[in-house]
Amino acid sequence: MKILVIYIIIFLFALNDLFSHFNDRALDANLLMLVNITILLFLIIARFQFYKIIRGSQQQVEKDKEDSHCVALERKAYTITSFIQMALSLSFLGLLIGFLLLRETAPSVPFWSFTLMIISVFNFFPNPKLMRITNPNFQFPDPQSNHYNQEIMDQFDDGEKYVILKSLLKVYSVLIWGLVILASGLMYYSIFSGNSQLISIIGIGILLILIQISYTTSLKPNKLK
Amino acid sequence: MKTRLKELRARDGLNQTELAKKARISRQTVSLIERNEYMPSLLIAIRIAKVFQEPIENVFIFSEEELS
Repeated sequence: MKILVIYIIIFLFALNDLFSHFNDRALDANLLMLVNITILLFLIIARFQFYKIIRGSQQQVEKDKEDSHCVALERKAYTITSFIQMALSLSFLGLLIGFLLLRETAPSVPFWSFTLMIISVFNFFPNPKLMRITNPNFQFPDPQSNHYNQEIMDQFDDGEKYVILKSLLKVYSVLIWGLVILASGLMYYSIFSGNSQLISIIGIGILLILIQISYTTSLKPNKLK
Repeated sequence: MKTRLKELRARDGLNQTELAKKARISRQTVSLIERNEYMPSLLIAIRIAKVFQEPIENVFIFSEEELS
């Protein structure tokens, strides 16, 4: 419960920072500060769900409700992961945009994002306590191991690998279409605003090539010996 | 493919987590098989059948169409 209390204190501190400097700061600084507060809210929700899972795992349930209870705990665990991932991505974006626009006028705003990014990174590591409840057979491989990725994969059984594969295929197609639409949008933006986004378009193009080549290369059968 | 997992679990008084533990698979995989969303590998199917002490064809039932 200690961490949740610390997050709530930081949240109140950030709210105070937003309202006490609201009139002194420009609109973009206030907006980014609002994003930082949202990130804190996500971290609080994730922590709150974490305690709910711990409490839920200690509950005694009737035999016929055990499966649905287990599924409910697992669903909560994935909700936590989603909120932490959103917090991590938003804080990273906040840091980049804040550093670009506010590093001289309101440096405390990107500093808030940076601090929240560090907190999110620490939250991002799988929690052994949580894994024991939602995935009791999972054993973390040694992070120093040379075959870390292979050892992580070996921890999943065929059914879990099937679910991961299905999700990754979905992500792959969303990513490819997302990059294509983004590059096209940047082209129109460059034409109509006169603000060239050529470097971004080239970057997206390189990323597209790398993703597609690495995907097809991994599908290529090995040479027969 | 149809499975009798749910029925056999009820017979032996096992929940998904207990079956998963006995068959050395994850609870998620048990759930996927029960919902017919995933066809298990031969190894997993044999392990599950062994837990119930039933022949594999009594746990996983294929239609004639699937087998021909």
